[in-house]
Formats: sequence, structure tokens, C-alpha cells
Amino acid sequence: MTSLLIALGLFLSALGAHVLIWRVRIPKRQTRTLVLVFTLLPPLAWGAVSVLGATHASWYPPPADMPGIGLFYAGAACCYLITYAGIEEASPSLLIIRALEAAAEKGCTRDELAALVTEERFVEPRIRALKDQHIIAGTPTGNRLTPHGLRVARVASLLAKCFRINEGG
Amino acid sequence: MKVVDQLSSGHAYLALIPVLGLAIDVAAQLVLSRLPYPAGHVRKQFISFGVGLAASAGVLLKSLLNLPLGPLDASGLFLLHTLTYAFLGFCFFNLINLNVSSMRIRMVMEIHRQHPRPVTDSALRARYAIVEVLDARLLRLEGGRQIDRRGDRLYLRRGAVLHIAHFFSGLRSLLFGRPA
Repeated sequence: MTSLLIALGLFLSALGAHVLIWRVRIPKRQTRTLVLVFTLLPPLAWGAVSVLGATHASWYPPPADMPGIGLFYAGAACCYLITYAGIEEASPSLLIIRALEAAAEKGCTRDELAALVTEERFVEPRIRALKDQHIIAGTPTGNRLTPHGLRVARVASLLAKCFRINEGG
Repeated sequence: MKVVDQLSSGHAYLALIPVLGLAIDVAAQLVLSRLPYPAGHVRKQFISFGVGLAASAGVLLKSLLNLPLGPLDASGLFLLHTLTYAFLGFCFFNLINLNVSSMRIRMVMEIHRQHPRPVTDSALRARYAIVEVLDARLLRLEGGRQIDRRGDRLYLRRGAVLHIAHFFSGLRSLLFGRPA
């Protein structure tokens, strides 16, 4: 049970550090900072435990549990990174749901929802984000994929082909 | 060397079981996506996730029963590795879903289709007309029984997407001190 608690504690500590940093000052490069927090916390925690000489304590997990703890932590961190992308960018579906929740019994017409789901709110920020992340590069004649963008596109095409995925809205 | 010995003589191999579960999830998804089974991709993903979960939980249970562990430690390790499988499955689920619903990925794919010809911002805006996005989302939410249509008005049904919306609002409040 200690292994599970240590894995959970490690993840929650990273989450706590993330909340603390964000409440003090929201980083300019949020995803990069978040990856850094999640990557640095385990070696820092291990360093602190070693300095305190607690590696021989009864609660310290056996080496055989370390790969499991590591994979748990990495998996949980990846899940949170995916979830965080949903915080950074508004989703049209969630906005529709919140608008309908606010309207309650009155409901909304399609046109009322169309006033909320606008190009400025959803399309423009995504084009801007693709440029900021160097996935596409704006040229005088239009946008082209950067080498990084080309890799992203190839992986996405491969996945779509393998899993027979059709585009949605 | 001592650590390596402890790793090889202990139960470190249990960490491979969630990875095995994920491999089964991926394989099941590959098979399901080729079957002429009239189900949406999300349902197929849930089925393949379930297959991977059943397989990894079964192997994990069998392995733990053969180890000299107390019930508390065995339950802890079962939870640790089952949750790890769930995390890996969630990542795979989102990897597939990105191709379906992420506007950014679809824009990248569109530019890739035109490659090496450049695509202007206005061409992208025209390709991803916001009214079409709205209609596709409304159709999906209606199909997923998250909203109801009565006459020309749309109403909320208390479904999973509402809980997701609340979760994101809560997280935004926690991180940024504001819900939206």
C-alpha cells in the first residue's frame, strides 16, 4: 500500500507545486513549465529523501516497486498534461453546454449559440497557437508546415489511417 | 548491482502489466475499427479499453496471488497498476480523439494535404467555417444525449459533458482564480 500512497503523494505534490506557481504568476510558456514541474519533482523529492537519510525507513518502498511507481507517475502526469490542454483552449462543446445550463428551462436557439461560438473565439486562437508553437509558419503567400509541423501531420495521418478515423466537427 | 539484483528477484515485472494492457487496448481498437460494426468511434474505444482492462486486471490478479504479499500490499499494488493502465488508456483515448475533434490537428492535416502549396488564413477560416463546427458539435451532443431539441430550441440534459464542463471550470478557478 505504501507504494500506491507514495506514487499518489508524488503526483499530488507536483500538482500542488503547479497550482502554487500558477497562483503566484502564470508562466508565459504554460505547457513547457508544466512539463518541467512534473519532470523535476521526482528527482527533487528523491534527493530530499536521500539527504534526510529516509531511504532505509520502513515506509520507503522496495526497489521492485520503483518501476511501477515511476510508470504510475508518468501516466498520471501525461493525463494531466492532456487535461490541461482543455483548460488552455476553450472547447465549443463545453461552451454550448455551459450556455444551455445558464439558460435552464428557457433553452437556446441555434442562432443564440452561434453568437457565442464565433470565429474570433475558436478559429483565430487556434491558428495563432499553431504559429506560436512553430507547427506552421506564416509566409507572404500563406501558411506552410514547419519540419516539426510536418512530423505532427505525418503522425496524425498515420493514426487516422491505422484506426480508420474520420474527421468530426 | 544490488538494486539490479533486487529488481530482478522482486516483482518489478508487474510494471509491465499495464503496458501489456495498453497493447491489448491498441490491438482491440485496430480490430474494432476494421469490423463493419455500426458503432461510433467513442463506443469502440470504450470497448477496447474494457478489453485491455479485463486482460491486465486478470494477469495482475494471477501474479499477485502467486507472490508472498499481505492483503494490504497486494491490494495496493493491484490499485497502483490498474490505475496506471487507466492513465495509459486515457492517453491513448485522447490520441485517437484528437484526430476526430481537434480543430488544430485538422488544420495541420489540411495544410499537409496541400503541401507544399501554402494555405492562407482566410482559406483555413473558410475550410473550418464556424457555423459548420457549431452544427457538427450540436449534432454530436444531440446524438450523445447531452442535449435535447424541442422545436427550434435546444435544452441541456444532465449528462457526462456537463460534469466535464464543471470540472474544467473548477480547475480554471483553482489555477487562475476565475472560472472561464
